[in-house]
Amino acid sequence: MTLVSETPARIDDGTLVSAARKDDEGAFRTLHERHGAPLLGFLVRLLRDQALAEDVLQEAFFRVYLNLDRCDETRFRAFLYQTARNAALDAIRMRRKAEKIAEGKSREPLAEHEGALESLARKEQATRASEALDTLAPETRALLIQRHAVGMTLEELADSWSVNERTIRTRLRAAASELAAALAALPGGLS
Amino acid sequence: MSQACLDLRPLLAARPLGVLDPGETAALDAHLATCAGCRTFTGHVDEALEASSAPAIAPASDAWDRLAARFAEGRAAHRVSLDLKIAVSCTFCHETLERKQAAFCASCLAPHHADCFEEHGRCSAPGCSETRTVEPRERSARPVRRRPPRIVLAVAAGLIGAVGMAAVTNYRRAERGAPPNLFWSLEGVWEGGDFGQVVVVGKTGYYNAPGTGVGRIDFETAGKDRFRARFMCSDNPRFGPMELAYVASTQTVEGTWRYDDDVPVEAKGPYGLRWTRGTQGSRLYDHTRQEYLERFLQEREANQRLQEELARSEKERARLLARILDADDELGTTADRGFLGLAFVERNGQVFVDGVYPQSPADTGGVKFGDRIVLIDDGWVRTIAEVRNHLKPKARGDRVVFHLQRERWEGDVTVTLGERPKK
Repeated sequence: MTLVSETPARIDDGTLVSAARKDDEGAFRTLHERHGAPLLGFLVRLLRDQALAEDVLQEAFFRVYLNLDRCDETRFRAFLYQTARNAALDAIRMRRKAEKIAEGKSREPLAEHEGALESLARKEQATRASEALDTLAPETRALLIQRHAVGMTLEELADSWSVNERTIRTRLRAAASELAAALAALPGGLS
Repeated sequence: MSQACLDLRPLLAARPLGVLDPGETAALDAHLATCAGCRTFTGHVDEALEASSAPAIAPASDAWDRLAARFAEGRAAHRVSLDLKIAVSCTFCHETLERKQAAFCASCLAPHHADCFEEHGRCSAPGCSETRTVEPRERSARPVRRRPPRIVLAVAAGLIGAVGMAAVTNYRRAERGAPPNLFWSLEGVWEGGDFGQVVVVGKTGYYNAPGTGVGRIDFETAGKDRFRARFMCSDNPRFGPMELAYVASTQTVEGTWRYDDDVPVEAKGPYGLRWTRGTQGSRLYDHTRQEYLERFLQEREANQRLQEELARSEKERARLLARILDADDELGTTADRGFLGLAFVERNGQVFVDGVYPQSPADTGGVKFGDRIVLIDDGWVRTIAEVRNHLKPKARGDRVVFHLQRERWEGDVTVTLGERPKK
């Protein structure tokens, strides 16, 4: 087992996952080192909050560690990003709930996703094209970041979202439509 | 900005994501070449997406250590959960005790420390005054019986089925086979006329008894309207006594079947004995009839060969005639006995005509070479000796009735004994 963790550079994710399943902590540490930094970048971009992103990163790796048995060796990155994304979305929901409680609005019937007013407020704050992305729903944002910034292939994305490639294609196009609409809605006549 | 531009906006946004068809991309390029507004929009899209870039950020240096600490915590929690034991509290002192060490009230099963129960003298549960305790029952060490997998059940069912099929096949094979032979006897009233083939078909076997030629029916007593037949049948004792299903003949005859011990068959059940014309039959019947026919044809062929040989030379013919005369002479001893003109041969307990003297009374009467002599004046004949016995008392001018069988014909021939020709 130590052999696996001693030569991390040449070993692919699948082998490391298999080793980590057999309680090889070194192998899992290699995985953490390899994917930790890009994943943290993704989370920071998604959450816009470095401290929260680091917590979510830890939570994500912990969840992955607990569910290693369910992970397909050849698709570790997709599995990791799926777990991280879910953890991040959970964190966003928790944060929003906390904010609402703080504002004394918790008794109002809440929509599951962000409220219309809040969305509108954020849209008003956004004045530049670079901020258009932040006006989108977190799921849409996560999808666009995964595709454009992380550079995942369609196949990886499909695994990561647990759907087939055709559906991912449709979702990406829908996300692009939302982005176009957000850009059009920006004040200042960007259109 | 036209409507066309608005319609293309989503595609423009989707273009950097690499999810467009080649056709769509070409259309976009064509449009962008002419539309300055959409080129600007493309710039905005790129800017927005560029803002999504997520440069790798190294986690804090102690990230792994904190994570590893969490793993260790998780493992420890897992171990602790395994060490948990079922605990109950004593009804008397309310302290916890392990279930395995508890003494339970024999009436209400309230758990106690053994000492507490002894100190209190009886069960301390309200309203219970039981003074006896019971030990907790050990869980039975017997492993849980599991149902065998379906595949095993299926294979077992298949095996049982195969064995059953084999048994049935074996049974049928035994049915067809020829187990120990039993003799049955038949007594009946014969209404006369043709008496052809008799086939006895039983539930567990059958027997073919041709009335002519070689056959295993042995007519023991003979009469014009009564007969008694003895025949063998295959009867497998493993499957009980044979039950006669039906008897087929070429003549309708009412009959009574009896076992050798003279128990009428009817007494043993409804056998539906029927003697019918040969149209009624079964595969078995057809089979046996075919067998009989083949045998008959073989015999006739042999006879024809004999005839041809005889006809070959005059000398032979004269010799044959002399033989017939000699044979005829042997029939009777009286001085004025009549002349018949027949030579006989005995085969398998049956008597056949071996030669007919030309222009003799037998010849003119209609007796043919190869005929089987069944009866002479209502008497059964099975040997030449019996023929002699029948003919010995006859004198010239007496009439003798022969009952003959030949292929497709059976009937009576009356012959008046006449003058013996000179040699």
